[in-house]
Amino acid sequence: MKRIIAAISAVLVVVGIFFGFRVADKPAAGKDKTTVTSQELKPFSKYKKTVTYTIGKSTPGIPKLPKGQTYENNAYTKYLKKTLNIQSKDKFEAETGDAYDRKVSMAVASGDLPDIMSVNIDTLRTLVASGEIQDLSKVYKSSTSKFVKEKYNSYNGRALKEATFNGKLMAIPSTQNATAPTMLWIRQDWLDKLGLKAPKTVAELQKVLTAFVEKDPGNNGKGKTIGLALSKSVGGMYGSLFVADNIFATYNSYPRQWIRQNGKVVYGSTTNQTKQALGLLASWYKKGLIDPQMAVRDSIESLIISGKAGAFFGPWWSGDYPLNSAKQKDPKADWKPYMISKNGDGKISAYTQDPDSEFYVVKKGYAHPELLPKLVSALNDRLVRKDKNYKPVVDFVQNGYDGGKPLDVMVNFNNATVQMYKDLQATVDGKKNPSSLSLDDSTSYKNIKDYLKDPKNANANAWSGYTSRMLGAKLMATTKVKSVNPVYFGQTKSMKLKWTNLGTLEDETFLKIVTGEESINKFSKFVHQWNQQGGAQITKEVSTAVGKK
Amino acid sequence: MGRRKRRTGQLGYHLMMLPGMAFLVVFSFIPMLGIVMAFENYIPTKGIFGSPWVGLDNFQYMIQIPDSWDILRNTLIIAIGKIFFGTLVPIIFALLLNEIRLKWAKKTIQTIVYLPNFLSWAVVAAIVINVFDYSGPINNILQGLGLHPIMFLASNQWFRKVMIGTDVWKNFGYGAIVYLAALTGIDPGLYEAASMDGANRFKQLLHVTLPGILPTVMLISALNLGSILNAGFDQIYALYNPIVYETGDVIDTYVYRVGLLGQQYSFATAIGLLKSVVSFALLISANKLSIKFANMRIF
Repeated sequence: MKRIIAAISAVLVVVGIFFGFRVADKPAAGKDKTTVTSQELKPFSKYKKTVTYTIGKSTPGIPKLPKGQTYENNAYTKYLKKTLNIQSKDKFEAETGDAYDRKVSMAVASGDLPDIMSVNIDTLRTLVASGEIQDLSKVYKSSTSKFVKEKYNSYNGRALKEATFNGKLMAIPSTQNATAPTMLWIRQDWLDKLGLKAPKTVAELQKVLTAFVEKDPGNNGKGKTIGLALSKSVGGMYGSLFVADNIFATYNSYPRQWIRQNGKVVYGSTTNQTKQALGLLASWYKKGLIDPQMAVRDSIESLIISGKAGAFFGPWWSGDYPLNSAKQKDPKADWKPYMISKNGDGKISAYTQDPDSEFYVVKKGYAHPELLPKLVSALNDRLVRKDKNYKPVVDFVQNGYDGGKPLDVMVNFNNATVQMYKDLQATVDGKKNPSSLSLDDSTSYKNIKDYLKDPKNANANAWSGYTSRMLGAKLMATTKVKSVNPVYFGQTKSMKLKWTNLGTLEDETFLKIVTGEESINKFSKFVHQWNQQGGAQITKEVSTAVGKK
Repeated sequence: MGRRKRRTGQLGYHLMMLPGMAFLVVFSFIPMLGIVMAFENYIPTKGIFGSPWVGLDNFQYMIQIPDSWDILRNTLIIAIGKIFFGTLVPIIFALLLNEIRLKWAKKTIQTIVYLPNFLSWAVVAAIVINVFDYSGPINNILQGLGLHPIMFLASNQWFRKVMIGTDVWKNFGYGAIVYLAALTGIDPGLYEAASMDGANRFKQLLHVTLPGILPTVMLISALNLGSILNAGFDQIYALYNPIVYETGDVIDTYVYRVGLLGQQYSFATAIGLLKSVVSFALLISANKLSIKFANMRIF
């Protein structure tokens, strides 16, 4: 009998552990509400006791931290500890992009969020609808520095608009330049070796790519050199690496954007112009000018770094990432940016974007919502102006390390890239005092100076500093861009259920058309399917929403 | 006294089932309540009881989009292919291996062949990707023969075949163990009798060996029926890409992609429910058929 009792109690213990854990797992809501003094609410005031916060850490694809430093303990976290007395703890770490989004989705689904994390617009909407995050309106007012507010205000109210729901600010966004035309990056040393001129039009680019593939200037072995490296999401991913927006733009095609065409609201991916651009890419793929393995390629970066590809499309900062690593691997790899236009006159069109790219949210129940605006202000104001000589960070930046900031919140003025280029050019010309530059700019200036001293033997950091800012950013500042403003960025009622599926349909179709799995004639079938599966309804809803404005 | 002792003894054995039962209840039956999500617009913080009801909206949408039928078809084709070849190949392999008389050769071959079973799909996928790579060994051979290289993993013609093939390759060595055991269970006297009657090796195989392992084959195939709609999440998730969603997306990968990553929990639940309903129907009919034709109950 005793044995039976023992067995039953053993079982009860086991079961009890299961349920016990579940109960214990629930946070004691409201208990950890500490009172924050009005002094501590001020942007740059230091907490008396160290405040820890857990984050979802999105890490760079190519990790670059100094030896002995970690994502939780490096120059930036040290700086934040010193100035604000705050310390981050990683709830999860994942590479920026799909891997990170996956972790966020998991966290949202399980309701187990880090105190602060960055999310995309779709997830932000889900979180707002489900009430999992805090209203930041008050702490934005009380704990954001004047300079950072000025930066947000330079967008005429557009910067915070998307993060605002029913008048409440639910997230603090990272900003991005509203016009960032994608440019063509090409191996200048290969061009030189083959005696070719830099391409200015689509047709010239085709010739160059053909020469790259046929003549193998990179000595990769016959048939192993890739002309154009292209992402699986062929186009329409704003400001991204490896998408062919530059090509689409020459056809006046703006995939994945809601635009106005002949007075009507249309979805850019379904237009005839997009069909033409896809047709061109498909013909290039067929000729072997585009990476034949693009559909299954995991890391395009490694393709570029190992010197197998001769061209790709990317933003002005591509010199810093991933080309810095390419230059490190092979000092002879000399990449240069160009802008492809319809007839070579340098005039291009590009779609603009809402200035927000990422949204930083605070979990409901976290006792220090003001920590986020304080951190944003410390990184985007105090560190870049008053403390710009803080040695550990200066060393970190100047040695080309990456990914140290616990949260990669970037708040810049609307015209930041152009301004940066102008400031640097003026400094190089001796018209501006180098000591007046911000931390990032003075680091760039040092690199540019190093590069100009001896361009041939410049190290990777000097090279990328120069290439991104004096070539890439210069193109941004000097190209005549006709801005095409998408008319809608929100989410309509039907999108909620149907948008994911439509997006998959689009991804699949574009990729299949480019890789020749389906012929370009299937494009009209795609438009038909797209409309039928909810696209027509959504277009109607968007038209109504736009009409209201 | 003796009777009481026996009864308590049995009670003890029954109690041993409790942890297993508790496991089932906690991890299989309680989560089943989540099916309710398929009929509402599930919002994580509001929970199952707080989310608004939408009736059959999710199911209507499911029927409306062609994806649902694609994934159902893919799941069935891939799963049936895997079960069919996954049963056939190990049997043939076991029979062949059984004919080898050198003991050490037999052991060595067997060990090598069942190694891949112990590797996770994440590892095997890396191997598969390299082997089927555009400039990998298979395409090199094809090119050597003057044929065009094939993008096996980005081709709707090939993807399912590669999935079935690699799955069979990974598991056939391990699967053969059962049949080898069944083979050793056959009475050697039967072989002697057969050879006395003048049967050659092939006739022996046909009339002694095959009937000898038939019950095992039946049992294993019947057990596999239970997992007919599990076409293998790990494998497909590790190897597919947008081009082959059309032929490669199975219910599990779709639910993961749309439900968890696309954050459409309710819609994914509806799809998952479809899987359960179809599985249930298949299992019941398989049972009926096996009672009728083989006089064997699965349950």
